[in-house]
Amino acid sequence: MKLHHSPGVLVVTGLQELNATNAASVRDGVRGAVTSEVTGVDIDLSKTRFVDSSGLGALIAIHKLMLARGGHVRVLNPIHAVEQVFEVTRLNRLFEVVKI
Amino acid sequence: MEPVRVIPVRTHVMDVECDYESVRAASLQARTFLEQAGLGEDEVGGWELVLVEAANNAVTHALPERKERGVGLRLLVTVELVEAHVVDRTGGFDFPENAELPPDDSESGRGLFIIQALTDEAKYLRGPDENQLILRKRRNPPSPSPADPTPAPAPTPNSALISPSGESESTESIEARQMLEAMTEELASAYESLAAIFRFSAELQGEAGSNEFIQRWLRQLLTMTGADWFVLRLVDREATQLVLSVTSELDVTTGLRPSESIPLTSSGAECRAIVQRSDVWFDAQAPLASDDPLAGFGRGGGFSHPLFVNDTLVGVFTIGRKDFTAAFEDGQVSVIQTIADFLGIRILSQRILEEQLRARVDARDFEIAANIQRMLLPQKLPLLPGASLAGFCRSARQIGGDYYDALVTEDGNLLLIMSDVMGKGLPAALFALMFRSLVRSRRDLAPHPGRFLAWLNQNLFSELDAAEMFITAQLAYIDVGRAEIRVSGAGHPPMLLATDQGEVIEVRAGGPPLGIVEDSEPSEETRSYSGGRALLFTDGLIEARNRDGELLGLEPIKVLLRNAALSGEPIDITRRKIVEMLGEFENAGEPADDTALLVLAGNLPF
Repeated sequence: MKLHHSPGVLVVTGLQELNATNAASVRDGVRGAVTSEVTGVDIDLSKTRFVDSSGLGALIAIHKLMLARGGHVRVLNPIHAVEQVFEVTRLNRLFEVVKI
Repeated sequence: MEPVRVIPVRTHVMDVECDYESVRAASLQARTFLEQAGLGEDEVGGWELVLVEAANNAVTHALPERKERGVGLRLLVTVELVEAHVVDRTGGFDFPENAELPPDDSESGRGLFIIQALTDEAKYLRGPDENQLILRKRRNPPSPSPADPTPAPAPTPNSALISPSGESESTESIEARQMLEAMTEELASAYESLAAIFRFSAELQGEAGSNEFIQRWLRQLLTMTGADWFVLRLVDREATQLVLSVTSELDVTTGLRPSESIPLTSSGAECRAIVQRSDVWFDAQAPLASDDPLAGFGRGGGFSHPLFVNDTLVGVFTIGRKDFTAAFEDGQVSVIQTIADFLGIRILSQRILEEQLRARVDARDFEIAANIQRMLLPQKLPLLPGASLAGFCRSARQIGGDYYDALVTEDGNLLLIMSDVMGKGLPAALFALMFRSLVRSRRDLAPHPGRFLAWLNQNLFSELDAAEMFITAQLAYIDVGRAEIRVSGAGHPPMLLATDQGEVIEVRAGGPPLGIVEDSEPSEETRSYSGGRALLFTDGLIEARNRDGELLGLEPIKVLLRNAALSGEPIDITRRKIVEMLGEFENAGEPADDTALLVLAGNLPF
């Protein structure tokens, strides 16, 4: 996972999977990188081939954190299979899923 | 029995360690398997997620004491269906009929919903020490490629029979439809059995018929059939007893455990099933007799199923429920019978293999023992002026531990050794080899054969004692300068000493066999020996039997030896006469025991 800041936005890239083995570390890593200037988190899922319910849990934790700070979370370019997981769990309503 | 339709089936079985990384790796393996089975990308991706969710649940909630047994994953693919079994060792879940999504801000609780959303059927079976989640989903029909102009699939016979709505059906077609529906239902109910049997067959090909394997399968059988206990007994090799092989985990509250073995003549349900060659059922209406070996178990109900392979009895399998308010369904009974019969075949073929292996090991042991025995015996006996030695050794049906030797000592005298390890085969040969090495390492002890035997006993005692074996031995030290022979034995037959004056003496000094008494002190006997014959031998000589069962005994040998001493015949002649006498006495009968002898002839001083 790579994290970098563009003005006001924390961009998360390089996630190959988001599952029970790494969900907690992704969640904590992002939490730690959300500084006071950060008003949005963009999570790039274009290279992420697998997301399970634990991975969704991490995304929700990040979402709650940002919601509390008045910010927002976007999910960028999920592959078809991952997008379906969002749809099945109806979390596509919660997250802004952006395809660029 | 009606022919069973053969369904082409692929299976994939994994035992997964109880951590998320292993689950993920296993799901990737499952993915490859499903791809190879021809599933489409969406289906494969769906199953990958479902398996991860189910197996992660099993990891998260595994009971600490069962964690090391991991998580079981099994996949079965037919042309129509994918079925997955996830075996967990948790305390069991309350699996909801319809899982609901948690509130949007909940960070967990979506796994079961995902599992149900992505499968057609999810069934959770709780077992006594493991549980199974059974998931099924029909396969997607292969999607026609855009270039493929194939129309929609032709109607199946089933759909052809169903009239378009609104049209009246003929009586015949109603009957036909009902029959078909009944058949479909029947097939669906048999599906569980067929699937179990296919999985079982697939596993059989790749795994040895170990006890662990049997235990695992029978535990699964409990889960599959909603039974609480089982007892598998196998017939022993003598076919007189039924010996407990595997049983379900004990009921800790009652501490009941079936007896280890029961005679085949017992009147219990298990033996009756064998005698009748059919299942014997028991329940509240037909309870087991109070003296039935399974009486404690059978308070609920169940049945004993005899295991025969053709006409060979393998054992008997009994399975039951603690509470028999619900009888086994027909499908469950046929699963139990089929899997038990398969196991019977497996156990029998395993036994045959083991016997073949044992025969090969025995043959190898025999070869090694024969080589050792060849090594044991001296290549040639020492030659001293004025004295000659001749030895003989004969093995009975098996290789034994007879050993004789003659060593020239450091002081230029002679030590004669004769020993016999109790027992046969490789262990006896190995002890004979140890004995020989010890004797040869301390020939300085030769002048006092009693002390020498005490030392040998100390050095061999713990090994002999542990192996529950013993050695009889005799040492004779010939002191050339003093014209004496000093003898001591350890549980060994006497040495015969025939003087050239025609006297034959039995020299019996000594103590118990080596390996019997830890601190024995064998006595010694010293005789003057100016000439004649001395004979050391093992008990095979005097315990030889003729066809009437009579023992040869000492007397004929003493006569032979006296004549030899008086005549002064060459030593080889004396040896040949003894061997011939033995052969004639046994009259070509089977030699009963190993026989070794060592004859000394000469006139001292050498």
